Amino acid sequence: MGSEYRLQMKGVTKQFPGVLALDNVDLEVKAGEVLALIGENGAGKSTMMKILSGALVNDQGEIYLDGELVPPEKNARERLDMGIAIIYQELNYLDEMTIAENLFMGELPVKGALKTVDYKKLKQQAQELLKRFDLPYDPFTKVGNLTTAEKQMIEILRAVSKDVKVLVMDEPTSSLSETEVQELYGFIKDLASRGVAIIYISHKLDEVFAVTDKIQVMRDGKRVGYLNTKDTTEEELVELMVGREVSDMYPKVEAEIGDVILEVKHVDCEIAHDISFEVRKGEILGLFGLLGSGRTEAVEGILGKKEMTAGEVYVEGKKVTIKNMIDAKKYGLAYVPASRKDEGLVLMHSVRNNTSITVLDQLGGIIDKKKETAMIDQWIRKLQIKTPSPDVPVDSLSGGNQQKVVLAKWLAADPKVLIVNEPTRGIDVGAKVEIYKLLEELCQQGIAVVMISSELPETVGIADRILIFKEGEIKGEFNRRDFTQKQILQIAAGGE
Amino acid sequence: MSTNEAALRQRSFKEKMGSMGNNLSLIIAIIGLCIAMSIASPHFFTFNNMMNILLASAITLIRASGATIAMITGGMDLSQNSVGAIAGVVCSTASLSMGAPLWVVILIGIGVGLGFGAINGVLIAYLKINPIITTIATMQIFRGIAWLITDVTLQVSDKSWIFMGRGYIGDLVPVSVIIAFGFFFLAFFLLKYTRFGRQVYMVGGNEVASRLSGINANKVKFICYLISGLAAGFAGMLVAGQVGAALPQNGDGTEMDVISAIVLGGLSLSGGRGSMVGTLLGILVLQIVANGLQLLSVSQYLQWVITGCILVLAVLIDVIRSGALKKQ
Repeated sequence: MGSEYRLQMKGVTKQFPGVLALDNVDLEVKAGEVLALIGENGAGKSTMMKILSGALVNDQGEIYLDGELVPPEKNARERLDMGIAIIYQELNYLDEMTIAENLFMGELPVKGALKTVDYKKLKQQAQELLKRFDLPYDPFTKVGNLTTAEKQMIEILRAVSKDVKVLVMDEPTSSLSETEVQELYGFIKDLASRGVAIIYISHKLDEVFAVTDKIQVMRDGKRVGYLNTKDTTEEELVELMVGREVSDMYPKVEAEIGDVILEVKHVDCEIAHDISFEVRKGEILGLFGLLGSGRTEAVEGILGKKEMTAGEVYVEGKKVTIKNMIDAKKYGLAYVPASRKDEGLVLMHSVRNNTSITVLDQLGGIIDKKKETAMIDQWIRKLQIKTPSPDVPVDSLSGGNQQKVVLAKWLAADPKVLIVNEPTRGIDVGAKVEIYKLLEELCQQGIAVVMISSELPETVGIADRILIFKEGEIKGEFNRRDFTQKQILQIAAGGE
Repeated sequence: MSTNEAALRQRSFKEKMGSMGNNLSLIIAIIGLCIAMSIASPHFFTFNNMMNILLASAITLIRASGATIAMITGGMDLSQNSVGAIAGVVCSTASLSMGAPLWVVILIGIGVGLGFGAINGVLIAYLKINPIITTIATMQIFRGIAWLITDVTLQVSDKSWIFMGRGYIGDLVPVSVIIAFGFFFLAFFLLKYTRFGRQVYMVGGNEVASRLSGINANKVKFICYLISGLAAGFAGMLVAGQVGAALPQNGDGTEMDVISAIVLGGLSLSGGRGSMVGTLLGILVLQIVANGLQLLSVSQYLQWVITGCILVLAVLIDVIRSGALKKQ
């Protein structure tokens, strides 16, 4: 039974608690074709690929490989055997083992009754594979000695050591240099010429144009575009990716902008370099950039979570030293981290414990339960946190309500500057709008908000001023009304 | 508003019942054991024997009052018995050679505990060494120090000290049991009602999130080991009174008694969960079993086997209840 398409996904739907992650999405790739899958964070790209790999099960829809139905109960291992391979952003290799061992991990050739590894055969198999793709490596080199690009090649080789039909690559260039990227392109084209269907996920539009044949654009769990790469433009893609009525979601209220509260000068922290900015009372400052552009490092350096190797921080004109969040809290800085589960909340504990955690000092050595309950009730009401009681584990709430609890705990501490990192990641549209409204309200009360986001519409929608981060540095600054989404995305994602 | 409050009260009652789950099964286990033992031995269900059980639990309960707090942070303290041995020999030296009165002896016991607890605390909280590794090491180091101080048995001659260890109030209730419950209530109160207790649970539940919320997690953990050391030092001093002598090998090899009881009490070794009530019930279950088996003249070796099996069973029940097996 043949088919026009090597891989076809039809009507894929996936519901997460509170979020419809995929809504009846199709996807097709022909043999020998490279398809770009693009869209903003949360558009549904990775959910789609997790369903393809078998890591998640879809609620509706089918997957066909060469016209034949892939049974949904097949797990990742079985799908790999069928020829569906995925290379994730984080590479999975063992530094201390050789190329050959990494290539055939899990199925090393064995000999004898004791099933010891047959290194001779292993070497031979590895050499064959390396030769097939003209890679000049010694199979017994330790993978730890290779460059990142070479490791990436090994990772790809591992995927294609099987008879691969569909290869998914998730942001494969995120850790590669320019020349390494070129090598990778050549390799991808080579693979395609051998009849592999390739799905290439990327944020970087210049890469999409360099290496793909077709482009599928996703937004809010839907396919909003399926185009020939040579017939489209960067502008068109950005429009498709962004394309929603911005004014409905972001009811921008102009707050009175006052004096500078927080000022940072020439901050270095890990990849973030020479970061200087100021934020004023009543202002929302957006720090926009792609993942790994240094926004989080800059902020975590300022807050003392990571070591700030250079630079100065001023709060209300006074120079301050912030070594940790205890200091930060003292100076009126609050931080809502990007990962609720790992850094924001103590999941197993109650809404109560998670909300009062920042203000335990005000509740006395023996906790004043009455005062605590009154305070928490107030925040539950103010932020409309949907919880049956303050004493249920915060784990049992939806993502949006969990995020509100993180916000509540910091608002309880009465901050002057609220720094939020990806405040709406993984929560539904309704909760997003509530959080935007809340941030606007806080500004009207004279709080300064610094918002890190990789979602452009929300940054453009509610920020008064936007700093664009790329490769660890601030590459542009726009005031409200002066920016368009296209300009910003072109600076953040485009080529030089 | 009023309906909200009503719903809230109802819910929190339900929540309380939920958290009682593990404790409830321990209480049922205790009742079941008591019935079984009463049938098996006429000597079991008597007031005197009940007091024996409590007396035998007293030292463990004191140690566990400290160790539970440390373990809720995701920590561990295996060095308690060694700290106790040092406290015992130092106290009896002070009492014998300097004629120190009981209150000084008690202060010395506590002081020794705090001092060696502080060593654990610095290593674990500030130098970030894994708590199990740290206290396995300090368990040996402290034991060695106890032997270096003295390698002979030091008699306790202070009558009031011995009374504290094995005397009875009104010929009914052992003094050490009352002291042990004093420790229990202090730890219970500390964990349940104070700011420090809340911080202990939060740090244990998610240390990163706690730090990012402005909690001084290092300090919290350090204090936990101070408390664990204090309990260990006091227990070591009390054991000397109970036995009537201080020995450098005191408590050697029984380090796991406390840990077993605490784990049986429903504490999560990864931190964030556990309670003093659970710990108390865990101690009672193990002690009732030990006492009953002694009454039935079951050999010590078989007792170890049975006690170990109970622990595996209890943890297994917990695993099954959490659904972790099904997830695999």
